[in-house]
Amino acid sequence: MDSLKFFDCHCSFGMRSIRYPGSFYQKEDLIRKMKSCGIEKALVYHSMAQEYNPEAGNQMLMEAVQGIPSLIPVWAVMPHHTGEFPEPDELARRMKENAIQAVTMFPGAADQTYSMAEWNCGGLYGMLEEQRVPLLLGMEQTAWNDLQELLSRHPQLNVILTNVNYRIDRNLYAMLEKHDHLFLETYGYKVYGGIEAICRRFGARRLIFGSGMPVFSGSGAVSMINYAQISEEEKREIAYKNLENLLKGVRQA
Amino acid sequence: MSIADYVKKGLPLHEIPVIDCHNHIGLWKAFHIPDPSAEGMLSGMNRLGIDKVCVTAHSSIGPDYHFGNDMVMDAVARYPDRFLGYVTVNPNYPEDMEQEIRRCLPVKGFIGIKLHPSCHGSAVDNTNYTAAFEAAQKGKLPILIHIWGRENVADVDRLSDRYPDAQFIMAHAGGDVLSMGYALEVAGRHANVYVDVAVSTAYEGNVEWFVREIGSKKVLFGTDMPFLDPRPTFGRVGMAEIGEEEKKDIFGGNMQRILDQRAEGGSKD
Repeated sequence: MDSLKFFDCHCSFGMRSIRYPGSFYQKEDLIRKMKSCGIEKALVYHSMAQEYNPEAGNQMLMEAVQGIPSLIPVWAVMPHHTGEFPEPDELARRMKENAIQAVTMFPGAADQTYSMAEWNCGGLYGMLEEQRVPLLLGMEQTAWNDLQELLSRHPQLNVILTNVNYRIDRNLYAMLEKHDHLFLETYGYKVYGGIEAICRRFGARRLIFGSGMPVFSGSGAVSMINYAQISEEEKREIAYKNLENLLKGVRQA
Repeated sequence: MSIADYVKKGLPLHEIPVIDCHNHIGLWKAFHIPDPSAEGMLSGMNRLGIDKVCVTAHSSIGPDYHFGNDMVMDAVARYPDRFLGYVTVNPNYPEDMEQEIRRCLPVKGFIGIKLHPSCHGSAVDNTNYTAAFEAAQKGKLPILIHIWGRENVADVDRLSDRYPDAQFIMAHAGGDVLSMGYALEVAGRHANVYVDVAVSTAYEGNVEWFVREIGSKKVLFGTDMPFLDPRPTFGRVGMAEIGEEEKKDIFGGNMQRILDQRAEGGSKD
C-alpha cells in the first residue's frame, strides 16, 4: 500500500513570540518535516504577518519562498481604512502580480484587533469572492455569528475554517448545512469518528487537510487521514484534491 | 518495516503490544461524539492496532460515578481481552468512597483508580481522596489523575512521596505547556510518577521533548478516546523522532510493567 500524499492548507514559518519546546520555526525545518510526513506542498504564511504586521510579513514571506515550489505563499490581509494596508482593488492587482492564490486574516483581539463585520471588511470580502480567492480563517479569530454573517453576505466566498477543535459539531453542522462554500481544516477536528461522520453527512469535499505546523504536530495531522475509516478516494480528496480544486478556481487573469 | 512506516501507510500496528492508559466511554454533555460506545471504540482500536484500553466513564468524571462505573463494568465483562477498567470516585461523596472502591476494584478487569479533580471541583490533594490513594498504595495500582496546571503537579509531587507504591499517572502531562515542564521534572524525580501524552492541542515535537527530558520509560501512551480522536496521538508517537525501543516503551511496555507489578490479591485482567 502506498502512502498518501498531502497538500497542506495551513503551515507557517518564522520566529514567534512563543515557541514551545520541541517545535521549530525555520523554513528549512518545515520542509524537512513536510517530507517526513508525506506532505508534498503547503500553503504557508509568515509568522511576522500575524504577530507583527501583514505587509511586512508578506514581504518577508515572498523573499523566503522564492524558488521553493513546495511552499505556496499565503498573504495575511486586513482592512485598508487606516492606510496600513492596500485598498481591495490595489490588493487584487498586487496579488495577481505575485500569483497569490489564498489569503488569511487575524482580526482577533490577541492579534490585529479589528471587527470582521461587513462595515469594516465588506470591500475586502467582495474582492476575494469575485476573484474566487479562498480565505483561511482561524476559529480563534472569529465567532459563529460573525462567520454566519460573512458567509450569508458572501455566499460564493470559499472560507476554510482553520484551528478548529473537537467541541464544535453542535454549531458546525448547522453552518455546513447552510453554507456550501464553508470548508473545515482537519488537524484540530479531533472528534472521535468525526471525519467519518462529516463524510457521510456532508461529503469529503468539505474537509481540507491542514497541519498547523510548526505549532501543531504534522505527524498527528497526517495520521488522522491515514487511519480514517473512509474510502481511499475520500482520503485522497481530503489529503490533496479538495484544496487543489479550490485553488484551480482562483481567477488569475 | 519501522513503526513510522506503519503509521505513514495507515496500517494497524499489530507487531507490538499497544495499551492505551487513558480512555473514557459513553456520552459527554459538552459536545457531540458520534459513537462513544464500547463497540464504537473497538472499531477505532482495531483500525489502529490498539490491543487494550483503560477506561473510565464520562459519567463518572461528571455527575454519577455509580452509573459510570457500571458502564465500565459492562464493557470489561463483554470485552475482557480489550477493555480494562478504572474505578472512578468523587470527593464530594466521601461517605461512599471506600464502599465504591470495594465494589469495583475486585471485579476482574479493573486495574486501578481514576480521579478527575477539575470536573469534581476539587484539589488533587483533597483529604476526601484519602481512601482512593490508600487503595492505590495497598494494591500498587495505577492511579490516573487529570492534571492541569502547576498546582495539580505540585500536589502529585507531594502525594507520590506519601504513597510510594501507588503508580501516579499525570494525565495530559500537566496540561498547559508551562506546567508540562514542571510535570516532566516531577516525573523524572519520582520512580512512581508517569506522564501520558493525551492532549487536544498536540504541539509539534512534544513527544520528543518528553523523551529527551525524562526518558521513554516514564511516558505512557494515552489518547483520551473517545473524548478525543486517538489517531493524532497514535501518529505523534508512531512517527516521533525517537528510537524504535523508545516507541515500544511508550506504546505498551511501560503500562504493561505497571500492570504486572500490582500486588497479589487484587483483580487480574
